Amino acid sequence: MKTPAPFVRATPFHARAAEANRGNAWSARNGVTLATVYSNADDEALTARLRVAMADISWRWRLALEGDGVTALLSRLFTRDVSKLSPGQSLKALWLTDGGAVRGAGLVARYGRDKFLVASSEPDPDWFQFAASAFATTARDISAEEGGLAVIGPYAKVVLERAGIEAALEPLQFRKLFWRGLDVTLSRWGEHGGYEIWCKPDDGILVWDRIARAGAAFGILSAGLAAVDLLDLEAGIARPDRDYQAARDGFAKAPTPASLGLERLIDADHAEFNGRSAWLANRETEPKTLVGIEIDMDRAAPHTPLLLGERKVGHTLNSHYSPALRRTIALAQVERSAAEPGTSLTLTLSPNRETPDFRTVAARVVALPFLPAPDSIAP
Amino acid sequence: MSGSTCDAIVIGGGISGLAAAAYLARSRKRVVLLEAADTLGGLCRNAPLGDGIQIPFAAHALYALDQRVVKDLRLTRHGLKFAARDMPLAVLRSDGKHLVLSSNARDTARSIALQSQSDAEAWPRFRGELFALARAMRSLWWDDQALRLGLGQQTALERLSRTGASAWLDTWFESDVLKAALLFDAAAQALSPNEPGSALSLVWRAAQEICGLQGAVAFPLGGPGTLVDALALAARQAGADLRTRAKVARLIVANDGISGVELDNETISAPLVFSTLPATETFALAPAAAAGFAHARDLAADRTRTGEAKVTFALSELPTPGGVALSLGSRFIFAERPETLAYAYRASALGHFPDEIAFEMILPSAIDPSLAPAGRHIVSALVRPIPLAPDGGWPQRKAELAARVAGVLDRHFPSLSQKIVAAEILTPDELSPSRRADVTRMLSHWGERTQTPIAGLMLCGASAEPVAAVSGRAARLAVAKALERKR
Amino acid sequence: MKVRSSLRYDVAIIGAGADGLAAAALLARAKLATLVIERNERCGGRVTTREFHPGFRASPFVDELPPIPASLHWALDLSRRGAIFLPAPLSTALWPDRRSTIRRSDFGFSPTGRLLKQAAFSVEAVCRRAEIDSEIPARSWPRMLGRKRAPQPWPGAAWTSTSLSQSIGTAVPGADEAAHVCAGALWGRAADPFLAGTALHLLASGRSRTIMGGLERMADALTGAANEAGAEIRCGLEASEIRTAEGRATIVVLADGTEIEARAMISTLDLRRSFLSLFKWSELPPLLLNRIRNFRMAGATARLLLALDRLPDSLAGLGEALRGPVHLAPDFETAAQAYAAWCVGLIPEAPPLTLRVVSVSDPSLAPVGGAVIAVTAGCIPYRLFDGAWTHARREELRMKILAQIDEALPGVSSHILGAELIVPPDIEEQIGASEGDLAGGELAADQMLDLRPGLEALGARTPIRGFYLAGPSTAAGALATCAAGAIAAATVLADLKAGRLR
Repeated sequence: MKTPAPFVRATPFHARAAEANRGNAWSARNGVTLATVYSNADDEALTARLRVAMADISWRWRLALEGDGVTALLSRLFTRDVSKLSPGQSLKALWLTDGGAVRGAGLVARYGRDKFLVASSEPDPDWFQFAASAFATTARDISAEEGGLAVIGPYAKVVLERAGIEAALEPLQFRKLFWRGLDVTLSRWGEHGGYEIWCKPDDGILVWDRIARAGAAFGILSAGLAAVDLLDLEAGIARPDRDYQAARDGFAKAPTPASLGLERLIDADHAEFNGRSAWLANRETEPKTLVGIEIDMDRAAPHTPLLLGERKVGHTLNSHYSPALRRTIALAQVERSAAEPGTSLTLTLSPNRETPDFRTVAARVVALPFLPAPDSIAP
Repeated sequence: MSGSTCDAIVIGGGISGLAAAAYLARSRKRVVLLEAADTLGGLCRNAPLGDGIQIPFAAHALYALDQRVVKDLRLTRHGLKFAARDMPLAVLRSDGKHLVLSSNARDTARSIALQSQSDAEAWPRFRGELFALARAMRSLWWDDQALRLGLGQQTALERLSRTGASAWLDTWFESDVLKAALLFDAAAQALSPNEPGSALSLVWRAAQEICGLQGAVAFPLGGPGTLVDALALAARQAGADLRTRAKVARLIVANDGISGVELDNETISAPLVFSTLPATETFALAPAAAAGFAHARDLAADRTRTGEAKVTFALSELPTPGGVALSLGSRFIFAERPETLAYAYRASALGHFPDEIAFEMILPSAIDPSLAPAGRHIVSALVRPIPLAPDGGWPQRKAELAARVAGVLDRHFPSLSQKIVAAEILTPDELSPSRRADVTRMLSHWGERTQTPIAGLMLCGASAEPVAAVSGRAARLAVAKALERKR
Repeated sequence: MKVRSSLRYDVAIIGAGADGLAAAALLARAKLATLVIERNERCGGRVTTREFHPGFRASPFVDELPPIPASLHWALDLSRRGAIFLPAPLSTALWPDRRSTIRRSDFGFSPTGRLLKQAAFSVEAVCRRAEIDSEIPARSWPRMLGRKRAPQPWPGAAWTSTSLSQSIGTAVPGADEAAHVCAGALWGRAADPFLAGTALHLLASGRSRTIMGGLERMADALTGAANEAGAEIRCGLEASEIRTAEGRATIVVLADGTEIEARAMISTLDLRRSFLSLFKWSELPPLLLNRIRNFRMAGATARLLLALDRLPDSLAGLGEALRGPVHLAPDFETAAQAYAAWCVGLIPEAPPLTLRVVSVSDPSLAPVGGAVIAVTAGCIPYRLFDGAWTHARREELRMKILAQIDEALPGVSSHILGAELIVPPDIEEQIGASEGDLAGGELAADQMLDLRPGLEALGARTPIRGFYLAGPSTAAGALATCAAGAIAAATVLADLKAGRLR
């Protein structure tokens, strides 16, 4: 009898996460159970910013690509030239639809001459499977084959060294290690200047315990999904699924990279990527861009219209109260004319229990990121 | 490897390719046409079948040749003449109640009345509506103009684009014979007559024009090969370089634009390349996913499992239908019932040999005696739908197909099979495997069909037509578009 | 019950099915004198449960209902009246090699879930779209013909050009799962999954659900809503004719000769029955007659209700999956072959079968210890090519179905206490669905969305002024429960307000 795959799987760190999850608050992302908050999301986010925190990032979608045509495939898929990578290096880039819209954003890491890893926060298996078949390459989903634990914060390096890991890595580098009896991969793929330890599922508990013990002296906390998302928001990172809807139709023309502030992930000199000509043709006409918004209230206002005077100029995406800034912040898509930092905008809040009437709140455009990276988590 | 440069390259020396080359050369472009085979003409050429018999290789009659191509390229002056301009359509019945649809309205009405009186009354109304819709549809591909349809017509066309041909004909007629005859034309290119939108392919067929006659079928003097010769002559006179045995190995693509083609031993650079190959084959020559991943995925999904087969017999005697006098210059359709086509389609799609086959048969030598020496005659039958790959494989089942066709013919042309002296069978995998007809393309603008995501690469063969047909239209339009853009 | 002769009402509704009752409730709420006429002794139409063997009950025609638009569900307060849709159950496929696979219909988590979610969104959009049309003021019939076409295409139009095999094949990985989803969309119907347009079946059945406590509850809840609003519901009365005057429907004549005058009439019967059984044909415009003649019905459902002394062990092993449908050996090609047989009036070699152990989700249907299985067979023709549905023919079908079940689930037939077989002509006779087609017309590309019923009319309006169509032959009626009734009610209200029905 064939048993269907379970809908939500546990990560290799689940046993420890369950012990630590005092609020018993869980959420599912990419089919993985994760603690939303262990005790207090604000506290966890501040700890990651000021001391050190560890976060379960096993939910990232990871795909191993192997075969003769893999370099050509990834060069054609990604908006940056992966052929220039040497083994042990990685880069972040987008993949676009034929119509030049953002279909996904992720990280490409080179493991060997014909061996790459692609990691992203939102899975896109159809696109990669088809593309791989066109280039005689095999693509294998390895998301469930490794657990990932991120160590974030100014003291991350010290904690790792105390735990016995030689942590001399530049950002975007990675290395396989033999760590006191465990085969692990150490990487610096994150956006927040931390480290990630990738281990076999069976070793998950050991890795968690070792890091927790080494970090105890620094007051290490485990950070839940809410805290990690907050760090992303503070760093101005728009992620598919959470912040925007990535294109799923192969010929879609929206959302464009410019409208999401993701053009920095495109190398215009890289001549061969999919959707390039459509991107070039449309980039000038894209009316919107991504900005940060500071809102003068203490409650989040996601997906809310933004007005400049009487005119609607855009809307907020994800929004959260930032304990570090002591203010509500939001990512927003606004017209270019209203994108200058300092522009005063107003938000129209729909009625709810607390405010039974329509209410307008003042907001301001600010440059991204809101805060520098905590001493500088993955795509 | 040597290299050369020209203004435009045409891949494929069929009707479309020759027309494209002629049009380009007329516009004073240095154009090179590359044909992989030894002779020009592709599916339209004449092929010898021993004993000095010339048979039409694949296309055995013309119904879609673009009138403007004939005029622009002065094909009549270059030798194109017709032996039959409007072949009647005949359905033979074992009970002798044959159905003949010809240009003579009174004879047609009488013939239909043999089947059903109400059908005979409905026929002129049906023709009227069909041709009105056909004229509306034609405006889409005759000119580079936006859709100029009345709202009523647009509504009607849109409704037909979601209606099955059999369901549509059911609303008009009751006679199975008449419906089956009409459905054969609707079942072109891997469409089941039950498929929504197949009704539109009836309109498409009616919209075709040949020798100035709408919805007619014509036979050129000397066989379809005459058209090839006339086009080749027109192209050569205009200065086109027509090369045979020149197989394109690869398309050179850089920066989402085409820069030339690579042959086995040389490269030719050109900013414009016109391909008459089917879209799948064209893009298979380009680097993987050169036209985009979504595009490649659509092409890969766009596979059909049914096709057409062509069976040609050389006979030692002129076949005569048993009993009645019928014009042998007719186009005979053999499809027992309207369901025959739907069943044959379903069986073929599943890869089985259909129990009942449907085919169209003509007698080229009765129309144009010059095709065969005295005392020899040709029977040419187009069988569809038929599986692209039947169980057992084509090499094993070729003979069976010929026997089945001969068996059906025997019923109406007594002892025909004993007169067969030679046979030639062209299976669907040998005819170029076509994509599935996409009814939405019949209502879309032609420009969308000739353009590709690779700048400078145009499709101008059957792939760029809503339904594959010998027309030259895509070539004319693609060239016009490309030259206009260049300017 | 006798209705006084020459009664006057604002609205007369023919048929007390889900659509009729919903329309009655909404119209009566708007303070209109509303009368519902029902031929049977009970309200509900197909939404019913009855005893088929002493002590054993089942819903004879359907096990599930398409969704009711949420807003309508709230407006009629159906949950509190006892009609609660059960969450999506598991669906099981039994394969010829005795394997079984279980599929959850949960939205969003799986490729299948995403596909069904997409279908559900389309259904909502279609209902909304049909509702919008009800607001557009009606014109007289000849002017409607020349009207400018609604500018935007209908939502869901993309489904009309894809086949089931294609839309499932691209969305769902794995051949088994794909065949399973296909069976879930097609059960009890006839369609060739390889033909374009059959993807529409996903819309029509993708989100069907059962009602807690049996379908009867829904009928009771709707009747309650209509009664409370003040509508008059008369059962056991059959409308035999509608008289027209100057192209406008004015009087409903009942079978007993009673005449009822109404400003507006809503028929919840299918297209064919609505016009052909109620009007003098000579009074119908020829274009309308032509459309009705060409509107294809696709009755293809046979039901076998089985009363069992206990749940057979082979079934009990499926556990919680028993709450949902069990599809026997789903397969695209078998479905296509069954369809081919159906087309020519043959009982297919292997009709696609779906079992539902209805007594598991509603134990009140069987005495303690017993079980009720409702078997649905698809591709069963209404007209057999060689004549009527005689006793012998029915016996043959019953044996065929039981043999197929016994092969997949050994031992089921040894537990049977009683059985009832319902074939398409029975459905036609019992609930008045033409040719036994519960969907009110084939779900083909040219008979769906804007082309359903394709009277060149807007929403529920018909070429006969004052006569409105709800029921399954309308755009929303084929895809959702009650929606067509609500749309017809809204149209009547809009037209009354605009003074068009004086």
